[in-house]
Amino acid sequence: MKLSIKNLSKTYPGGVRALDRVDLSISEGMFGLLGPNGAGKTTLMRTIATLQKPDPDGGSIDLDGVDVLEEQDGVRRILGYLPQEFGLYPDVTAEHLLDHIALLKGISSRGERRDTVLFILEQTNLLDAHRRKLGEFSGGMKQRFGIAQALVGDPSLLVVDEPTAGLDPEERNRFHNILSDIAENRIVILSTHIVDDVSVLCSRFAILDQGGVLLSGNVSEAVAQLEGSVWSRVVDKAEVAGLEERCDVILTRLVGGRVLVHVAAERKPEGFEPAAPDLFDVYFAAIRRARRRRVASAGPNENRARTTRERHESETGTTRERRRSEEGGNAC
Amino acid sequence: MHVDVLLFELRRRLRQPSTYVYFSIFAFFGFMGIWRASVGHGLLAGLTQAGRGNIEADAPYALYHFIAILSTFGVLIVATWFGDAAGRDYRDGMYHLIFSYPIGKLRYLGGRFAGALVPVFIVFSGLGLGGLIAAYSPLVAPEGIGEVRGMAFVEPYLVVVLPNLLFTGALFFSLALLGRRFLPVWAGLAGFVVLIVVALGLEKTGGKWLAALLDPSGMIAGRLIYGNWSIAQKNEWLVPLAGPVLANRILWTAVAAAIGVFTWRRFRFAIPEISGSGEVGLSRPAAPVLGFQPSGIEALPATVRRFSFSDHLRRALYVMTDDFTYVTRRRSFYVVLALGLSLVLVTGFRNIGVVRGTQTFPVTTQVLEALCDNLYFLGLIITLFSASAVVWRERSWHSSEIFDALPVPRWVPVLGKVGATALVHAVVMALLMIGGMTIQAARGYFHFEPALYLTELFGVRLVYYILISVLALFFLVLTGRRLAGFILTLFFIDDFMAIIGLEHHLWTFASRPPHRLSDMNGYSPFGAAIVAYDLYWIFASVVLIVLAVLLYPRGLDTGFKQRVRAAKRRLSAGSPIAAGVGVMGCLTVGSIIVYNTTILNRFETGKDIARRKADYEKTYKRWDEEPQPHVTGITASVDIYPRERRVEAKGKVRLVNETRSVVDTLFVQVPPDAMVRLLRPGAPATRAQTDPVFGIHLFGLQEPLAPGDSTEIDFDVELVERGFKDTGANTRLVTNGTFLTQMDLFPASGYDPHGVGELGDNDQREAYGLPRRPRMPPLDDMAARMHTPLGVHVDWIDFDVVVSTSDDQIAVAPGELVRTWTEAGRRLFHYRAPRQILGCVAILSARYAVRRESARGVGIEIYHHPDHAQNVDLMIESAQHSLDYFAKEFSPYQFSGVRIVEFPRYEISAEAYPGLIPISEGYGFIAKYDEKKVKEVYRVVAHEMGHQWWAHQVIGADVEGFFVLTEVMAQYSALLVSKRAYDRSQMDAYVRGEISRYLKGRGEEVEEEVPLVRTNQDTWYQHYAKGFVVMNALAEYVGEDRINEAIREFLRGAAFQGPPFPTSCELVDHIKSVTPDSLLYLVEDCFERIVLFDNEALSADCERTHDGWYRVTLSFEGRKWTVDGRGAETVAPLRDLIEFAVFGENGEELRRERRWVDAGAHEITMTVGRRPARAGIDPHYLLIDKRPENNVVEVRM
Repeated sequence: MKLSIKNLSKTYPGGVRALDRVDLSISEGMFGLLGPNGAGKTTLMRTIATLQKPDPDGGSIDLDGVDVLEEQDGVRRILGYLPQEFGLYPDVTAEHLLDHIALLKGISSRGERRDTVLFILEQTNLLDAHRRKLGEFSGGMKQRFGIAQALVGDPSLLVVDEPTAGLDPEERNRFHNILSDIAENRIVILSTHIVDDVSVLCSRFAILDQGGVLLSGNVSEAVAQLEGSVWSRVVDKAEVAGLEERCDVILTRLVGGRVLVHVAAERKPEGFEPAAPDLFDVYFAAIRRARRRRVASAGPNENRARTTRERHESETGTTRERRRSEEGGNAC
Repeated sequence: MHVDVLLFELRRRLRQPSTYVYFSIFAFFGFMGIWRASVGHGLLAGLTQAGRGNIEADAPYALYHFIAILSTFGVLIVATWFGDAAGRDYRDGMYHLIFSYPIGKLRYLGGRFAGALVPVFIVFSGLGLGGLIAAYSPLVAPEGIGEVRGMAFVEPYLVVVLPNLLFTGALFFSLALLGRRFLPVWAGLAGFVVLIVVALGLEKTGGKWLAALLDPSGMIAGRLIYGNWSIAQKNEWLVPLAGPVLANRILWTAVAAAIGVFTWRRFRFAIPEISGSGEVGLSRPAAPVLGFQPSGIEALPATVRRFSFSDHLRRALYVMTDDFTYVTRRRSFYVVLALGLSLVLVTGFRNIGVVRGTQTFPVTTQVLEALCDNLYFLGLIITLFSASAVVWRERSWHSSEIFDALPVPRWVPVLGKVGATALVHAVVMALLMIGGMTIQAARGYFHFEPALYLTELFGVRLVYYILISVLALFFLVLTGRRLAGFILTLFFIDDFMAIIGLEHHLWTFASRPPHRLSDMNGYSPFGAAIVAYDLYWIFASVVLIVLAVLLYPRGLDTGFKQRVRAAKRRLSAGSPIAAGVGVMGCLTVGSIIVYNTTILNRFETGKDIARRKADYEKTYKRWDEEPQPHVTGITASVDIYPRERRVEAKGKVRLVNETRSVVDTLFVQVPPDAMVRLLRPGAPATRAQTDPVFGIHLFGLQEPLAPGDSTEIDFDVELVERGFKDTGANTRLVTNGTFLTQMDLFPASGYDPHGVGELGDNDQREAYGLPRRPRMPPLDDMAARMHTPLGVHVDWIDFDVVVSTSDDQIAVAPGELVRTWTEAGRRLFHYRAPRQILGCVAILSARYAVRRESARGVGIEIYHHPDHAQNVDLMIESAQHSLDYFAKEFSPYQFSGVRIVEFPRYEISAEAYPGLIPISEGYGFIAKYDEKKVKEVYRVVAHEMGHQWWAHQVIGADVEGFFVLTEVMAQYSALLVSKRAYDRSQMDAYVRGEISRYLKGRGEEVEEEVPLVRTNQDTWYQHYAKGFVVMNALAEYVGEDRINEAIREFLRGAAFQGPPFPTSCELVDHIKSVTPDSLLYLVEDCFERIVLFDNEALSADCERTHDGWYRVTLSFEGRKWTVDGRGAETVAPLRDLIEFAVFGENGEELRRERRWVDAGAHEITMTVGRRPARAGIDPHYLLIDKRPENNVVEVRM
């Protein structure tokens, strides 16, 4: 199976360009879609999940010869979708709602439906709670119910949008285990802004920012490419600004009150230690570089768009990173 | 203080175009109301009588009422906006943020509340503003509006609208706020409607004060104040903030305040414990997973998935039951249902078994009618509630993304949701059925008719509510907005189409011609129309459902344009086929309906009818002056074919030229709907003109008819009911219970100002260019004295008829039954009047059971539906008593028998033909009695028996006061007979009821109130109600014997008199001649003046005299007014003989005496032998007292 996204664009009525000529090719296995909030991940996921149309003449999505944008019904039959945000009817039981969804997904036989529902509830560790009203579910249980409903009907295309947001580490673990076990023989697209989720689960990934694909490919290859060119150093907070002016800083992170800085360079900069690169470095390097490029060629319009977006993203680490990058200079 | 929050809300509303749309709608209604009322038409005039007759278009009471009603209808806006102001933060999830801000409760709640109150008030103010603009505009007719009083436009806003908004606003605001979503607002809405409807019911059945308090809109309270105002008062007075209005306003403002305080106390800036989206909840420990653990999912279970049409259908069924469960699980649904059902059942319980204030047996037809009367509100609220609940179910719980991505075609959820609302309605119907039977059982009536229940509730009514549910779903899907969807729905299902002139039922969604059930005749004349119209609307609904499917919002592109674009792309094979079936079905059935209602039958709007009548008058009025012969006899055979709903009438009408001129042209009027097979004068004549529209045939006589000469008209006409009509059905010619009169069957002579008729309403006459005319010709109109209202050229006639009908039916007509026989499978009855009778005859035919009795040689026969034998004995008893008494006191009875005949309940009335009294099945035959009251059937039969003298012995001239000689005297006859059968307290209660009927009736008068001797066409409150009261007074004061003596004397001269016919003045003169001079003033007060009293007992003190007697001193106030035609009251000096009485502890009368009371008297003393309990002035209501309730007081020892 192969999902090819070609030249996909989407502009919202308010003028926000959510997807900008996205090209992606996704095959079986887990595919991680990584990007900051507001990058267009959800728009892309919803478009794949047949809930939204791109702009007129805004590209195509093809699944093994099936036009996803036109043949919605065909796609829905093989689709499992976990939205980023969803509510559940609070006054029905988990079993009842899952049975309802199973019927709508085409499992007509009552017996089969019952078996499937119980099996999936068991796998998602909700069997104990199957008679409980959904209104009593905790955030984690609710999220597990979300994956349960997506799994009903043995979907070959599974779209899960930020499934681990707000989960505690234990629930996240549980989630990862489930996802990684079912990823064989089907396409699983996982969108997240958490780099760890991708590095733990996915073999292939793409980085999306401001509607565009910055990077896509194999996770280990992407990391390997940075091998030998990432250097780290712990500095005082006051020194960071100076470093940013001089070097290609790809990552800054607080460690015990001081700042760990990763920079990219061909040769070891003074005072730095060699660092083993990981997906964080790949991610932040891609984002920072893209932004720097944009700032360099920014017109007033783009600046304004960014300000609006930043308002929506107040509580994430990425903003802080980005601000620094905008203040900072270019070369190292 | 909280101006910032308020301003934020205000700006928000002012940005929305809907605010301006609603304001404009109200302004439009206000403008049109005043403008149209100034010429006597339109909504304001229709609701309040403003602008009609002598009432001004901007009469303050009318504006009060108009603004109260329309703003009450605006409650949907109130509910939506207040509900939105309170529930928005929960809906949008904003409460997480807002509740964490340092904002005071009062500032938040107060600002939000005021932020809804101000815009709603502004929207409602459109009414008054529009009205005021109209009042000053040059469009209004100046004579219809008088001097404009600004205060009249402002006052209702202060007294009605503002307090109402405080109450309803607080209610809805509180429900949405504390319930954290919009649904509970429905419960409040239902409660509000229930309160109003219950109060309206109470108002009708007598608990006026309670009703005035209970009604939160203040309408009834206002009506209680101005209800009995005269025309002059209505034009002048503002509705005072006093009495019931003040009490009501205080009560509901207090309730609003209480709700406010409660809400303020209960409300917390806290996040709900279990919220809809389930973010927070109880967590149950699961097995810890701290690292990698295989989940165990290697392969998901293999399942067979089916996506065939029948599988999808099953899915739709599943969605239906699931959404049904969803709706019926809402707590608010139960509140709505409970309130609505209690409304239907409680008012049903009161109305079932009551017809015009009379108790009846709760027969199923009547139970169904009473239940369905109030069903509309419940049905509508349930429709809007469940439609909006299911349409936005997924969206309101934020789970639409999950459901929208499931592999089902979009018709599955749409059909499922339509089905769910249908199921909800079916549950309501089932509950109604159980409720109806329970009421029947509770009333001790066990003749259940489940089949009838099923047909009416599940066949007829359920279909209607399913249809309007489809419409509501369609508009909700189309607009994506609750209020806009509702308003559009209401617009298409209510009478708006008829208001803008599209009166055919094909225009108003889901409507059909009205129908009425009858025990005698079932659904018979209505069945075909019900089926046809329902089919038509079902096909129309198919189209709506297809459109709803195409436009059903799915996914995130829910903008209207996006949906339309997507719908166009989706137009695959299925939807055009389904829509095509719907359109074809609609067209096919629609053309069948059009064929039936406009080609087989005549379809006329109200305007068409008025125009036709105007044309009749304009074209033929000149014939009113031409001499025409008199009808003096009818010999006919009438063949009724009940199953075919067909009747043939053939025979001869004898004509005599009773004028002093020669007649050269015969003006013959046949029933306009009849097919004329033969119409030929006996003398050689040429056909001069035939007008099928009006049924007018003119014949030129070759040899003119000289005065005194006679001729004949041979006729053969046929009347057939073909297909069905849009206005209902001809309920006169039916399968079982045919009831035809001379106007349906026989030719008549000359122009007829009454029958086909001239336009009566003077405003309409002006609109069609006809001169205004009095309601009836004045007493001194000598031309009118020459005929009766029955017709210009007919009065006393010979009558001989052979009626044939099907072999299972009996036919009844006036006259003696000469012979009855069977021939060729048909039953024939030959009736012949033994003497001349009034030319007003009826022929009835049905499957009757017959009961025969005789009293002193007069046969009394009751023809009744076999199931309706309950009251036959009582009818016979009343007829016997009447015959005995009237024959003795008035004059001998002129016929050898009397027949009381039941007819289907399409009309609720009792009528009197010569020796023949048709009474509706819904009136007397199913009546049941309260032993403590005057039995209405007994009184009605006596009244109609009275007409055998007062119409069929004496018939008055076609001038004012005609009804004194018919209705007033029939009321007197009934009074005399009832008085002998019932005791004093029963009669007193009845008289008091008639006084309040009179006061209410004169309060509705718009033209002019005239003294009783001139009572005319539209002043029923005079000849029935006031007639009863004054004749009771005269019988008491002057004495029954003396009055009867006067009557006998009058009858001796007037009975069977021809032209010139007697008038009310002659009767009054006879009464005066037997009245002592001292009481002549009373006869004049009764007949020749309009007089009102307000006699009031202030207190009664009692002391024991030394010889053991009780001396009661009653202090009282006597007030008397004379009133002019417009109701201006002038104080009249009191110089009257008034009755006083003292009552014992068991209500027995200890002493009664009449004393002359003049303006100075304020106290009288009466001595009684036993312990007195109560005492009073005019305790038996002989005089017309504005407030009869204060005539009697407790005695203080």
